[in-house]
Amino acid sequence: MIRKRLSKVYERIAPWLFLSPMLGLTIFAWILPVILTVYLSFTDLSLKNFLAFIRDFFTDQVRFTLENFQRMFAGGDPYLATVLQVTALYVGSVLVFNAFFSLIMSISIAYFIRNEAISTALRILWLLPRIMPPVVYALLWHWFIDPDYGLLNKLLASVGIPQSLLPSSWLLDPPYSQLLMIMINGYVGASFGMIIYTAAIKSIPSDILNAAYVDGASEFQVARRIIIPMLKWPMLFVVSWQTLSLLASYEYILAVWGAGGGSEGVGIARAANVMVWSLYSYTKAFNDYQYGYASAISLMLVFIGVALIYLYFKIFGFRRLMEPSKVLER
Amino acid sequence: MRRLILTVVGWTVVIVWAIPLIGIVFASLQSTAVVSSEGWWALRDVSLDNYVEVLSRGFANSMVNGFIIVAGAIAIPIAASALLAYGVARFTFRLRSALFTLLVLLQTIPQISVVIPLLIAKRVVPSDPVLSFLWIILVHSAYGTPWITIYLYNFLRAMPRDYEEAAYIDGLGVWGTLTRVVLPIMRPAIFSIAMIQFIWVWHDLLYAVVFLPPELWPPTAAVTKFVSRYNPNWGHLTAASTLAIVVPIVLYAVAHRQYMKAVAGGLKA
Repeated sequence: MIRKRLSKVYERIAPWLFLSPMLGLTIFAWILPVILTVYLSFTDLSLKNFLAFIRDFFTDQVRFTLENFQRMFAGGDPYLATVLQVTALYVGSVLVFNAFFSLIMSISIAYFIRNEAISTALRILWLLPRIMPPVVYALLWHWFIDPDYGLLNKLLASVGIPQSLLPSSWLLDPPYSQLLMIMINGYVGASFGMIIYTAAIKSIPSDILNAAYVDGASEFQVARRIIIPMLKWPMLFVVSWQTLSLLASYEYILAVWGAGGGSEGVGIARAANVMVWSLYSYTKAFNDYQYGYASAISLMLVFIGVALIYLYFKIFGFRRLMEPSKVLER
Repeated sequence: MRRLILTVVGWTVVIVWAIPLIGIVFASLQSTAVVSSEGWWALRDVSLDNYVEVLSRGFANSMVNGFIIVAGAIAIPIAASALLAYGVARFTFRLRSALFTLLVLLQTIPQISVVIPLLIAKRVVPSDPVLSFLWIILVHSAYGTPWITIYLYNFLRAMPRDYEEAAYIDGLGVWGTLTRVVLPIMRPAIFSIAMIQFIWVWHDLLYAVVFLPPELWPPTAAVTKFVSRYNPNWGHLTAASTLAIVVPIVLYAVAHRQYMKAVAGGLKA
């Protein structure tokens, strides 16, 4: 109806009028930078040759090189293997932690706890880590794990675990520091799953649940045999998006292991063995000022992201990818 | 019985959370000497001295900076996305699926992969305060636009067209229909988005540190000025932290339902 009244010309132009502000922003802050990142990854730009590079750039004399990629793939940077390992551990473990944790949390919040006030209070508290700036969240963890006055060691001591079994520093001793990394990110990530699952559980038609009750199913059977199977798509969705966002995320690791910033902090991340891929790229750019190499490292994340999203389009189809929290027909 | 276990587990985890947070607020109300000798739970000589000191040491300016950035970074992407979502939802548009593929694709590009060129561009371009603010606001806006568009598009598609058609028959043009009919109807969705975007932008540390000189830092970045590994002034640090979290937490406590709706409807993990 609306369409028919528009003149032909206007109909041609209108979409572009609607589109242009967004396209302008996107080109300025996404597309152009990504192209530049690709460009930079073929150069040896660093702080040392920065001014020379800018001059070369404007006079078209930039020297292109494959050095960065050789360094990455041909073993020029032996530490990269460790980074890859840590990243795999990080993404895999946080995903598993989240999947179980947020599922249990959301089923108990949205289904088992009938008291609306308690359920809301739990949800509010549960989301606190997501609402807080990472810097403050990191500060809370620092307090919690401090070996001298932290709550964690006091709690463990009160349960009867002797001092000798505890690590001298939760922050620095590798297996524990990695566990800490998983917990810290897991808590924040779990709240995303909790929200999606809660919305999905609420959208399950009540007649399905009532039919089960009439047939004599207990609450636990309903949760196990009806709710969890119906959460199949939302679960797959959450895992998919979190894989992407975990690959790209380093803020919380930086905030906890790099408090104060600077090379001092990043040194700690390396010693604690929590250096993930994106943090490594950050370190190369912001601490070692090797912009070219840092671009090449970060470019890998773009490739992985695009490959994954292609896969997700195949798995989910367009509609499911756009409306995550609805229980759509299977 | 099983329900009891679930509830107990849930509460324990949550209490482990809430206690450190309360600790931060308590510590901010006492002097560093008391906190480090007796612990934050002592609650002796409660005063607002730390807040006064922190605010007078530039944190008041940081709060103002934070609000300027957030205001811009909420208004611009919502305006751009509302326009786009309306256009795509209501007009036949040949490139629609290409556009949405682009929007989803943009979400997968990590911040770290775009920030290096932006950092370099920032170094080359002369900087002054207004330009710096504009720069960071535009970058945040671009970061928000894809998911906001998808969210608003979903919202609009679920909305019946009757109002718009009625408005059209009564003589409103496309623009009038958008501003006087569609936007008011979208108000709850826009509110949810504004909230999530607020929290997102308020949290950001990377762009703030990259694009702004220290005197223009928003609260989240300014807190790091009080972090010291060797001689922490707990009073100042906790007061600054409290100021940095109080705005998002109050906002969230008032409107947590909208917040969760926004997370559930968008694609932002």
